[in-house]
Amino acid sequence: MELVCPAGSLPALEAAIDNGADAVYIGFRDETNARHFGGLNFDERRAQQALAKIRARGRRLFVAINTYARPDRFSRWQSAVDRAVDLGADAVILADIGLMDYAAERYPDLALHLSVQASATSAAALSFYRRNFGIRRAVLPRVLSLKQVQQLARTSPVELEVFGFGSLCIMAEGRCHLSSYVTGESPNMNGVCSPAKAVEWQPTPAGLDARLNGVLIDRFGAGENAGYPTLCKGRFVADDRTGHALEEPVSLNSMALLPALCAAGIKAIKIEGRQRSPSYVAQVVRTWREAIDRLARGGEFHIDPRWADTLSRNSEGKQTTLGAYERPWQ
Amino acid sequence: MRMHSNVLRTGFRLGVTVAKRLPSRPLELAAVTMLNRQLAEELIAGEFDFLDGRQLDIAVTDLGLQLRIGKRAASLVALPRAKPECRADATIAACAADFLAIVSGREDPDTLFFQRRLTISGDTELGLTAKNRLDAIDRGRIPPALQRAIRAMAESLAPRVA
Repeated sequence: MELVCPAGSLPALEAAIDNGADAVYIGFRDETNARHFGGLNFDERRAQQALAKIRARGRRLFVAINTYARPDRFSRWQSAVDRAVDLGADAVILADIGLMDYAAERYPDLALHLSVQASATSAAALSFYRRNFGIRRAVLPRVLSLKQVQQLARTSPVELEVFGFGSLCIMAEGRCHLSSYVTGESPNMNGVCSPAKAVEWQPTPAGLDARLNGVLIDRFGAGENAGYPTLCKGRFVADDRTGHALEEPVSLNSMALLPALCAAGIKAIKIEGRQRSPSYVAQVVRTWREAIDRLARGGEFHIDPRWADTLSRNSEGKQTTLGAYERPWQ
Repeated sequence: MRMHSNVLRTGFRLGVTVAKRLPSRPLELAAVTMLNRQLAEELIAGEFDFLDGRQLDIAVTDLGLQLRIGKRAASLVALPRAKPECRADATIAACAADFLAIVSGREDPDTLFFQRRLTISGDTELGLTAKNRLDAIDRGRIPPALQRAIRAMAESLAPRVA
């Protein structure tokens, strides 16, 4: 299985390579990717440095152009595809169907990966993308249960990549505009969920208040862990109860499913976190490398307590769960 | 090894006690000089232009140190505080051990943030951009002796896992 790792900066990319990533995915410094935060991502010079490091170590570089192009600025998204091709990236990760058409027509040899944001969950959908745009791989949304992933893997016309670890959101991938209701910007259209300019952390006598465009979305008591300030993870009063009405701040960790995913023929495991530091990338990638290598050696697979400890220390929200992979309501 | 680590811990505590009593201005100037040397390439490339006309406080909570950073031309400057109540545009605060853990690559800033050990107040975008830019620094350019010292110090101060 291929280990696909995030990098928001050159040192993070080096950390990924040094700790055993088979492939690294990056984004350009604009709204064409879903981690469009200040100080993050790669301009042309940094992208070239990234590619040189990738080639020197025989790994692969993917470029995420995974937001939906705005109709009045389509050329910006086209230009991102052009830049990825000029760079010599091994694949681009796309969600927008119009952009996919552009990439497939203009660069027939370019490897296209269907982004998780495209939210394709059936063999029929994957076949459509394969037939029309020649996609080689699809990243599966985290809304599927393990059983559904296994079923899909049996009939999929393309390679499948699934999420192994990282912050979880409400899992309406590619269709979530919650952030827009409060800030006017959303991950799929603007590359940012809860843009930093709308976020305010206010220490108050009652705790730490998280405000999004002035709207109170959470209050953390002393000693209580905080999470990313997203609307879906906020606490609200609903039915006279205050709590997480939509989603809790938790991270996905599907390591326990690794043998099942491998047996199902899943081709790649993706680690989330282009917004995180090189330290996170190093720790998480090293852990997953060891796990995948242990699985490849055969014999009984069990999770080393050190791995569990490292992953839980680096996760958003203390507790890590299997996310939707184990939701009984599926 | 254990003794070495204890010596470092004691030395650090002593440093904390002494640093609190020192006049802060020379420390601030030294810190900014070091930053300018480390970040010369990024500063010239315009990667810190987001600081133009802005004020960012780095607050080392247990030392009572507050470094106010601004930018003039292609250099960072340590801004004097006219009045204590005059606030910077954004403040990043943590204790000295946690800042060392971040610089040494031992801890992820978001992890520390989740655990409430690192705070960003004021203009979140300014604080977040600064955090991301600092993450992107090539640590290989820090002189090896200093790298080793930072790493040893960060390790000796890290909470012991039972």
